[in-house]
Amino acid sequence: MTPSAIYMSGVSYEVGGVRVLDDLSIDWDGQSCLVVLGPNGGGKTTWLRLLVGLIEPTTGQLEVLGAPPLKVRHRIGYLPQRPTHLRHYPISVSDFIALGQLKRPWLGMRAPVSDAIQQWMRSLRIDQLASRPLSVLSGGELQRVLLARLLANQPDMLILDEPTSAMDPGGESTLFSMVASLSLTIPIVMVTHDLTAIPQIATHIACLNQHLVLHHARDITTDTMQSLYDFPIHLNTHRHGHDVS
Amino acid sequence: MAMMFLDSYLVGFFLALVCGVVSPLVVIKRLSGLTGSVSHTSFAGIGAAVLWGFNPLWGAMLSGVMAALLIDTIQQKTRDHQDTLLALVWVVGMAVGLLLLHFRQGYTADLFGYLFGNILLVSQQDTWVMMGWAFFVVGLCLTFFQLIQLGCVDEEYALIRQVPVRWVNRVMLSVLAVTTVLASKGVGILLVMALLSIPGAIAGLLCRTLASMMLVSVGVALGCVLGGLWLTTWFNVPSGPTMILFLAGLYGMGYVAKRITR
Repeated sequence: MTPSAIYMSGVSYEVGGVRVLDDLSIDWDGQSCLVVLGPNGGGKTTWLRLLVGLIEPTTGQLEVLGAPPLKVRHRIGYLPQRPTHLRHYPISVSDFIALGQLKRPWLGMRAPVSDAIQQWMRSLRIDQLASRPLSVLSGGELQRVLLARLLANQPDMLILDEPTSAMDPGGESTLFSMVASLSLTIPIVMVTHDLTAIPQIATHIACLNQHLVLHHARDITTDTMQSLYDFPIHLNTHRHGHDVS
Repeated sequence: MAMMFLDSYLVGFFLALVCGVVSPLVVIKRLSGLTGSVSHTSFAGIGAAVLWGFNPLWGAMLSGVMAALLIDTIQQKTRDHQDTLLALVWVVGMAVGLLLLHFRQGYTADLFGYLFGNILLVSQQDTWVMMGWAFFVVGLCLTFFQLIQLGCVDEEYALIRQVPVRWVNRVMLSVLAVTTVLASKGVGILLVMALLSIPGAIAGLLCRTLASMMLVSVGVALGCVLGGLWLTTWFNVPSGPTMILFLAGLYGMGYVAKRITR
């Protein structure tokens, strides 16, 4: 039996006496793309950080890809909301991506730029940036470079935290097509405030605002969105016949 | 004359080599403040060694490494008030050293030597120690260059990839602490921060990769340390300040040249 992509039972997380996530339970098979929606401060980024083991739940049981996050996180491609690398670090784009593929025993002076790296750089339309210093990239270019670094590792799961926040419409469209195609082979969890992403990629939607409710994308209604954001959001019915933005 | 100061030149050569390799990492990871804290805290170890009668070099290394790891632990635990904590470790280390030396009557005469260093007074044993350390640091860098790069460029990503980046950083900080203590012998506790940061800063003006930064930084450090030493032996001026002023002048020229050519 294939293990659940994400299994959570009674997971809560507190920081400084404040309960950020409360009693989350979810059993997601991962055969699709899960889009996470919720208002600012609702705990979306915290939830993703729990999934990759950067923080540990205060209570409850959590498994990702059938094991505790600390054991499997190297198989997960995690794109954080804000880049975590040193922006001024002296390195070219291709060397930066190649460095991200470093494997045991971690020896050597320079990592080779593999075929997989070149292929992902072409797919994400950053091949012309290969020799450019990392420090001069724009926000959108950087997002694509960070994504190429993740994808060249051939992850078993992708976790993306607002990946399109700095992208132009072209970059956004490329990313959504890529996510839609990748979600056929690996589970993808994506936080976004871009509701136009839902009809393009989402099969499941997690509404997260301290508590978490998992929906099938077709079950999302105007009422669901209004109660989540506490703001009237109008949903149009798109050509496949289910309610989306 | 040159043979008379052979040990000084050899120590200067290996000192410049190590500082040149380490300096770009200090600049990139913004560890100048930590270097200052370590050098001043090493004074506590020197004080303890003098008071209890063991080798001051071991005392300085031990307290320097402990200070570096303590600062790292504090910085991992909290992101608030990091500069205050750094300054606190800095002054407490210095205060403990001064207090311990106070209890050892008559030793305050050597205070000047520790604070400002004198590369002309090094022994043959110092030469061997410095040479051994230089080979160790350069070997470590060549072997684990990529690992060091990954630890510097993106710690969180490396953690998720199960790379032992926390240990890499601890080793790096310990190497930096020992280098700081050994370099203090040449330029003194008060000026060592400059020798560990200016060569890397100059290289940063010219280079686009860590490897090239290290090469340029080594060249700059060698030129300034050996040039400063030559001036010291011929014109009888203090070695530490001469080297530092050399470095600062070179950085100033590099900065201006870069602004003009941009």
